Amino acid sequence: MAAPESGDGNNGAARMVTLISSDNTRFEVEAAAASLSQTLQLTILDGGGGGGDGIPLPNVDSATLSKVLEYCIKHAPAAANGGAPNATAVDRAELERFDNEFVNIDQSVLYSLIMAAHNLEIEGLQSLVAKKVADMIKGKSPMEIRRTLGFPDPTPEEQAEMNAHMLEYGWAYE
Amino acid sequence: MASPARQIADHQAPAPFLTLTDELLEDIFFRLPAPTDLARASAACISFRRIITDRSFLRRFRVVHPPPLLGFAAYEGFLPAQPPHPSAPLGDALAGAADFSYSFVPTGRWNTPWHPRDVRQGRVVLECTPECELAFDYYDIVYLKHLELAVCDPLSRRYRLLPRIP
Repeated sequence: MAAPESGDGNNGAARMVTLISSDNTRFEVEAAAASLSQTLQLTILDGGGGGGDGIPLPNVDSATLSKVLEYCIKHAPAAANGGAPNATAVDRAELERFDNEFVNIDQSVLYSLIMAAHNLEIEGLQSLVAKKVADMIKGKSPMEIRRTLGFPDPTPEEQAEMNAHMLEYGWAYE
Repeated sequence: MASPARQIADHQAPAPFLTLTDELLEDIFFRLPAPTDLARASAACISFRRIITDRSFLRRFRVVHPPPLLGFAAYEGFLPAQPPHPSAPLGDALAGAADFSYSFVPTGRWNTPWHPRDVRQGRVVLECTPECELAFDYYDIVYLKHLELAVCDPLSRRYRLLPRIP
């Protein structure tokens, strides 16, 4: 058997759907994985995406979509078990390891991922990226935050704002 | 002499996170672990500040991250949180930055010092009473009409005297 049963009693062997990225690349993936997206789940329940049709995703390019699907495929079995109440500690540790590794990527990719997760309503992925960006910001001074996120040099107005902030709240950061 | 030109990175890819929607930025800020992180992020750029200082955002943030306990405003003064409590450094910083002797509140009708009576969210209710024997039960000897009350913020050193109880 090629793929593990998702075990939710769907129509026989794993049903496959086709997704089409904005640059016209076709991705064939198990319906259970694609259904991590609330948006796609509705289409799939309606019977879409099967056969030669494919579901067009005009807002997601192929590089981003393949990354999104990597996440979905990894998380699909746990999601099928209803948040995996009976998952072993090993399984959970493995997912956590995967997640940490998964978001260890360039900012521009993080950005595309969070946009895609939001568009496709993949809650777990959106949280994962948001948490990663929050971790990049935490514990940093306003200027360090700007540098970390690659913001351009502050305008005089922004610089004045930061100085005033440090004057008023600098005591809290020592 | 030409002054050194300010380095302008000529149109490298604009910082992606500057263009995120408010909704997604909120989702990120929600996951900051401490209010200090939120405060610093709010100073980093104008649009961050607009989102973070929005009242409804702050209200939701406080539900998830209750304000940390920094210490106790006790009769004897401020007792900052001690290690290993996670707020210990911030408590110490507050002790240094704020005035818990309340010297900025003008002396009341009685020539006695102001003492804290209650604290809510960083505001201290102060009371000033006539000289009294500590041995007596407080309520036996202080008439409400003799009580002077004030509310203050020891950090910004702002205060408001409350009207006397008739």
